Amino acid sequence: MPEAYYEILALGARYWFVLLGVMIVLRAFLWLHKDRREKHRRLRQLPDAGTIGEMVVLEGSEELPEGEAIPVPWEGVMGFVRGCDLIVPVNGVAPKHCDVSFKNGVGLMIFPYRGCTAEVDGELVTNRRSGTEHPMHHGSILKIGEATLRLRVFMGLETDRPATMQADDDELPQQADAQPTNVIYHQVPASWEQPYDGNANWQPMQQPDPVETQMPAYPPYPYSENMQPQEQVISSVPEGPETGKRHWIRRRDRHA
Amino acid sequence: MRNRISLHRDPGQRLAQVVMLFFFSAFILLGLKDFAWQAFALALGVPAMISVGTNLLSRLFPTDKLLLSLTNFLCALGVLVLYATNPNYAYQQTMYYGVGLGTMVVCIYLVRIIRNWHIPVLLMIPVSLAMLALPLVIGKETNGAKNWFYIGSLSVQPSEIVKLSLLVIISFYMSRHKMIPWLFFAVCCLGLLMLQKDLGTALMYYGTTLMLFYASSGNLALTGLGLAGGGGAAVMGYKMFAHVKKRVAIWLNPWSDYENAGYQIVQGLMALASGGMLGCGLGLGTPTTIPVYHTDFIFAVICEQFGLIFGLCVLAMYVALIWRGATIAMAARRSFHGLLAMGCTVLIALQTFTIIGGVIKLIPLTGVTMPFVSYGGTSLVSSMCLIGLLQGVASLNDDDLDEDTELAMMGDTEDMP
Repeated sequence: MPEAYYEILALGARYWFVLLGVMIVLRAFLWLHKDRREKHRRLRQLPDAGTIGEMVVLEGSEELPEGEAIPVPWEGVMGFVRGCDLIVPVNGVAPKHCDVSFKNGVGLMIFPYRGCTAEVDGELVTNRRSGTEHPMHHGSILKIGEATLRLRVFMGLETDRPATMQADDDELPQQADAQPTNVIYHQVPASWEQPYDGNANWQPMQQPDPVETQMPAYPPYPYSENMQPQEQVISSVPEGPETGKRHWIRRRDRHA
Repeated sequence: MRNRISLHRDPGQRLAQVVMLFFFSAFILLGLKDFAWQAFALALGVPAMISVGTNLLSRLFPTDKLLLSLTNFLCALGVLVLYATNPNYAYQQTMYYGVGLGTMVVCIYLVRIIRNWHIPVLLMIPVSLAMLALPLVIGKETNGAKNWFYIGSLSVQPSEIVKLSLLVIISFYMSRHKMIPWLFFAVCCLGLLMLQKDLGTALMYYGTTLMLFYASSGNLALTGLGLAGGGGAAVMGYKMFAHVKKRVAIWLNPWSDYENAGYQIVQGLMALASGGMLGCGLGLGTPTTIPVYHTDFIFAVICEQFGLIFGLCVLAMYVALIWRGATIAMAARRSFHGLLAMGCTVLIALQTFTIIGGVIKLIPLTGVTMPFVSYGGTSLVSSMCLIGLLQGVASLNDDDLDEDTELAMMGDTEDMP
């Protein structure tokens, strides 16, 4: 093609290429935006996404009252400062006290930083090795500083301790005769057990008969002085289906 | 990767259609110039590759479709601009792009399959340091730096390959809060690069390490100290190395020696200016007057041919890519994956800023390439590997989210009759 004709064609095509370039950019950013919105919509339906369970405060402080639940991520840092993934504003807790890491099939491992210690079910954890040797399971007690926390693991996640580990039968109160008088209940809020169906007039479903099950027997560990030895902490988490797996706390999900 | 966006109009398809139309019309125009059959073949081949690369690849392998689309656009743009200036460069670049796609898939699977990076990282450290030391032993000095070596006719820049292992090693040890191993490796790499006088790559390595340190520790004070240290090292480099002094002098006033040392920057600036807002036209202008136009100054060529508006569009594509990378990094569940994705993103961002900043005389020119666009096999393949690592983390994020959805539905089965 003669150079003059090509020049005219190329000069005319400039507008076309610039227009297409701008369209490409706009469509790319639109795609980014829609993808982000879709992801947020999905995350709203899964408020527990990214977490393996929660730590319920048994002993805390004014800023961290008893009964409060702290979501536990798969990996994170536990400490006093706000930048941590698990914030424990209690005396004796370092600004960055320990790393936590959950491994499916093992449990939640606690790795204290240098100079920090933690106690998992009565066992002292001071370094990475002891953290690997004493993973936390559903119901495990963690003591850091002056805080005592109990771990609750979501259903579907496995630890190396089977869910149905029980004490001997004669140690367990028989269900029909059980009339505990000094029992502390940690009620699972109804909303955690029934999925929210998005209905404005949503009411929790009729609760099944509560099954009082004793938590798996752990080696004795020092409670605080205020707690009497005969007090038992019982969770009203019901038994699971016939697979034998304990029905841990159910994830909260909302259906659109 | 599962199509997460259930819209009746797939945004990916819409973007791919416009991209394919752009390259089809561009190559047809170039073909009309000389009636070269290769251009017409590329007019069909490049859009086909984009379609295959975006749609088929994303169905066969766990990929992030948006990342793939952006990467394909930038790589194809490089092929187009190189073809407009020197077709031989374009053919080689196309071949490198094919290799890059393969290595990208390998990197995706490496991230997905390897659960424990302890042994691979221990192996990577000595191998990477040995590779980085090779140019000092058997390399040839090019433009004041000794960072290449040749295997037959094939030239290899090991710093481009080692940057991948740098990311993996630093991310691994930072996620485990072990400072000494990654610090040792980073210092060794920086030392070797200083010996090679490859200061641009040293800047990339240093900046990426510092950003990852801040991302993992959140320690603003130490990061600030690192920045100050980097500034101090830059001043020392200015005093120690003559070619650094020269580059800074040329950056400050390229017109003072526009026929010799300042010729490249002056030509680049003139190319940017002569293109104007809309460009002088594809296949027109005189981009080949810019020294090393196919690597360092490819952005100036793009702006001369397509105009400053299109140049801004290219910048915007990089911004979109970096934004996507940062989103992937923040959504990662494991700190190693998050740091790895963040490292890949920061590296691409730093490299893009450094080269484009040098071309427009915002900062002194360094010898880094424009990711995906510049001619160069090692550079293109390593950039595709970075995208592969990012896509691997993105695919793990999606798998985690899908698992969360399944686990959330698990409890509902009890309510079913």
